Amino acid sequence: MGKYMKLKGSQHFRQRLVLATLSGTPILIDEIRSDDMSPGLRPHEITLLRLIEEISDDVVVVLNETGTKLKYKPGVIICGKRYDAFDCGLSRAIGYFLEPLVVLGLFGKKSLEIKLKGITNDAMDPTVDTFRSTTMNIVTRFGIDKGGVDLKIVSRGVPPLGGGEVILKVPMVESSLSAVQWTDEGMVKRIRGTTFSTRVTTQFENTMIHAARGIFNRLLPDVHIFTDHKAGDKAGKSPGFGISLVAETTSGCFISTDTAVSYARGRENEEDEREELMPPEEIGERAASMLLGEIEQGGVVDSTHQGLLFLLCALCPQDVSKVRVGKLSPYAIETLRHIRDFLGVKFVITPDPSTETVILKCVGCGLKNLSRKSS
Amino acid sequence: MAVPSSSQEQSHKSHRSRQAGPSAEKKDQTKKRKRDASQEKTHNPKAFAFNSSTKAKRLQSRATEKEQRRLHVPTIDRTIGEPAPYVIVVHGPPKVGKSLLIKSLVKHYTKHNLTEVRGPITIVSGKQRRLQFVECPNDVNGMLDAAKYADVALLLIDGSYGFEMETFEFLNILQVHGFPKVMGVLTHLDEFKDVKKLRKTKQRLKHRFWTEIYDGAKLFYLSGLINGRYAKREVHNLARFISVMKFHPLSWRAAHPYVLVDRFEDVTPPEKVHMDKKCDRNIILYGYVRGCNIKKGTKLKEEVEIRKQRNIDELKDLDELTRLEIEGFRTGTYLRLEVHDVPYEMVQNFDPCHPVLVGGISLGEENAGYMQARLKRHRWHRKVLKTRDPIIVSVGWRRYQTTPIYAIEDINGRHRMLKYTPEHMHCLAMFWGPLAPPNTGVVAVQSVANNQAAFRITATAVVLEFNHATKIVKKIKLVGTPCKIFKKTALIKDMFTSNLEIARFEGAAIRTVSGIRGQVKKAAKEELGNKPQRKGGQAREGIARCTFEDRILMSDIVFLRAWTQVEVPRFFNPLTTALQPRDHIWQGMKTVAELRREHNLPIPVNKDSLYKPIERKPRKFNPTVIPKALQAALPFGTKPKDLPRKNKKPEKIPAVILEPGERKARALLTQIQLLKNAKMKKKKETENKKRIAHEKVKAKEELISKKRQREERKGRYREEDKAKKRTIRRNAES
Repeated sequence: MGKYMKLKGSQHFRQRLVLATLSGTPILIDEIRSDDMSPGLRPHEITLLRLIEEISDDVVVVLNETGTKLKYKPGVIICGKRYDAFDCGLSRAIGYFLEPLVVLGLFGKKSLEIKLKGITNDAMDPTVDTFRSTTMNIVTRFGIDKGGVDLKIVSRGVPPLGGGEVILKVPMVESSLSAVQWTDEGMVKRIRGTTFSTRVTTQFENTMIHAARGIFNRLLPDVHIFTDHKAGDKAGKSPGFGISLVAETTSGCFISTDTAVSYARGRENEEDEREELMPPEEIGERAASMLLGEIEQGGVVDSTHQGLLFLLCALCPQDVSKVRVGKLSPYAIETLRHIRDFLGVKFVITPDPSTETVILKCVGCGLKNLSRKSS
Repeated sequence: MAVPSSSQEQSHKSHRSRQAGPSAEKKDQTKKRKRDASQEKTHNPKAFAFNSSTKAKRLQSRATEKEQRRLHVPTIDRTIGEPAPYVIVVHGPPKVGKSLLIKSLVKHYTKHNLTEVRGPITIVSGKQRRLQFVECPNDVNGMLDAAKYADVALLLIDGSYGFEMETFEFLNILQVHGFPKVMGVLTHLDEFKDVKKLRKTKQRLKHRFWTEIYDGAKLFYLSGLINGRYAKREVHNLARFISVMKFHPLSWRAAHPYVLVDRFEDVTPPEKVHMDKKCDRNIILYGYVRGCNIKKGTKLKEEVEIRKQRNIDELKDLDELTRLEIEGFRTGTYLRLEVHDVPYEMVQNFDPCHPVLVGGISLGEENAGYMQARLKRHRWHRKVLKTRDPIIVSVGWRRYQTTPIYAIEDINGRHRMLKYTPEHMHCLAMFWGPLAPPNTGVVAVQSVANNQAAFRITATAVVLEFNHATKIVKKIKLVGTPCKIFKKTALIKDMFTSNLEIARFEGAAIRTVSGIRGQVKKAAKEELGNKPQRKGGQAREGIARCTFEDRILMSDIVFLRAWTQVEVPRFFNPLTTALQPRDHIWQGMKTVAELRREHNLPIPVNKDSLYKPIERKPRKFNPTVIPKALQAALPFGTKPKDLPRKNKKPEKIPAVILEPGERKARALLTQIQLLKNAKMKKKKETENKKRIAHEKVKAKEELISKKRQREERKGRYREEDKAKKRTIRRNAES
């Protein structure tokens, strides 16, 4: 059996777990928030461990009493159809779990179909709308057939009480992904978006759209933002609203931003001294300017999807993948480091000063879907 | 003359072909002749037209099928630059001329005489190609290894003897490990004195070879020795065949790097060896990288056998460091691997004829787990394989002994354990070992000993999937007998041992031998038949209350059929043949049968499992008795009638005593009757005699009359015939 890889700290927990599972390397993480006021793993991290345990077989997870030390031995990724909903908890949004889930699901024994419960939209994690509009498109670039990856939003939930529900479908890859040559980001040809509102008036959505369009209309005409007002059971348990915008370019790249507004976590009891929510005009304007900022940075994906892009590149067969991204985000840099440690794949990073972008090249590690049953 | 600058191409005067003169005429003539010849040879188009639409259809479908069969899924050859030398494995049974062939080929390429073939020999065969000749050792281990690194296999066959088992074994191993190019070479053909016989033999062997590989597979003939060497021309031809061979990437090798070690050095500090002869050694292995690129730090398997920690150093190709980091060592690079802490036996027992193969493995393949393979016992192997008997499997780079459990998938997806492999059928084999990716071929042998005469390959298989848990079940039958019967409920004993066990089986379906179905309810309470013997004693445990669809009998036996999980033993034992002298037989785990034979233990026999003649006595049933009161109440139609009376002897007929007068009268009547009978008898006899005499006379007369009639008919016919002829003649005359 392989030796345990020793890691330290609480950072990049998701990447570590995903890479350890894919490469079959057992890991030992030490000093997880050992100096913190509340040491150990956070609830969402525990939930992630549970989720991985749920979709795979023969996982060994050993935590010490304070939760500052974790021993994780990956098993075989099984996936398959899950009939019971998985509760993602309320500390992080479902978007936090979707990214590892979609990568692991590709390398499962069967295709994945899972119902996730919790917070669908919040300000911290990528929202489910972004997943639908952008992440799915990025994954299909790597030889996954279109329509294979699917996310259905049953109901929405925002912090603090959540109550949202989504159904995720991920197909398994037949043998391996296919490498990409993805350096042309093209020009923005259209902007699409979705707004949502739960337990607030639908007028908020119109205000957000109006504000966002006010910025975009000066630049390009093809802007269309849909509204998705949920009511009753489908609106979850807390009030909130938000917007997710995506710019589609002529070369088929999707660049997206999203934001949501709701009451902060852990304050649901203090009804009288609730802080004022940000007005919807401001939200619309902010989302629009954030999107413009992302587009300005360049690259074929936005900064939140850089990590996923690099991970998928590294999992390709032993062919050269070449991608162009804007300014590397700290998360992406750390992902590159972890890819080097776990998969032994190194990237050649060449800056392109003329467009202020970075071109990354790598030879994939040739990971094959080993757990798939051959017929 | 102005010389143009060196960068520009110098233009030459082009060749001007002759327009007139004898050479131009000659050319014209040859052209003409060629044209004529091509015209002559054209077929008559009508002769090859279709006459039947069915036939045309069939031919067309055959052509498409052939076309489709030719197509392959395109494979990407990821090797860049100069390829590593191609490994040519020369295989064949002993004394067939393997070494001589290598020597001849080396002589052909290098013009050097080779006295001895020890280990791989690398030569340059052309501008683009290098070759590495390896003689395949003649044991199972050697063959398994050779099949893994061979790019071409030259199968030497003694033409004067025919095919031998080694060839077929090697072909089977090759097939499982990806099937590299194969070429047969027939030797010893000079032993045929009769040309016709030689031709026949060649043809026969060729066809046998074709059935094994494919129709049209190349079989090369080496006619014989000249001065102790193969004929120069034939070696030259063989070399040409090798030089034009094309190689397709084999899927396993394209995904896994490997190094066939052609140089081996022990670099342990001498003082360390001096201090302790048996200390762990440091060795350096040299070889070309093949397959795919090796990453620095890739986990390498050391000829499968040594599981020690290794450090890998690199020497060559220090330039282009970044490329190396990104890509790893390209195929075709000559690599120097430094391996630390190798057991001293490896160095001591190193044999250059058994080259070391260093194989790289990819992510997730270093873990051990359960593998499920679709296995088929080789039809030439004599015995069936038994579940849990150790076999040696060769999977990927590895070779290890493991104990498989055979199973078969039922219609409902259940994996049912099999005790023995089925005949002429695939079955599933579940075994524990280092994981291999799905679709990897597996070849199994029972032992690596050389002394076996029969076919040594026991089974071939392909890995279907791997799992961390096994779900193989076998049937279990719990048997019980009733100890108390109520109406449709019965208390069943001996089926379970405790009440806890009964709780586990509540609701389970049960059945009696006669087919009455039922269900387990609960553990029986302290009831009739389940009372402790003495007060204060424990009630007997494990008596279940069951209900049935009908009342069962005390003589019934009740069954509960269930499935129980079978554990696959977590055992695998890497073959350490490199750590012992080559002439020693590697001894792994023994089979139970071998142990029994060694210790002279009899096979345990369960008496209950023996088949005995079934004796069934006819069952006696008591007659139905209808009470008298009931009988009286029944209507006449249903009343029992004509019953045989019990114990009633037939009554004696009372003797009749006659009066004297009556007696006289009866005597007289008897006498008269007697007389009458005698008279009638006599009369009948005389009548009979008369009849017979009359019949005789009549028969005589008949005979005579028949004769007479025949004569008469004869005469008449003669007359008629004569008259007819006469009339014909007369007609003819007139």
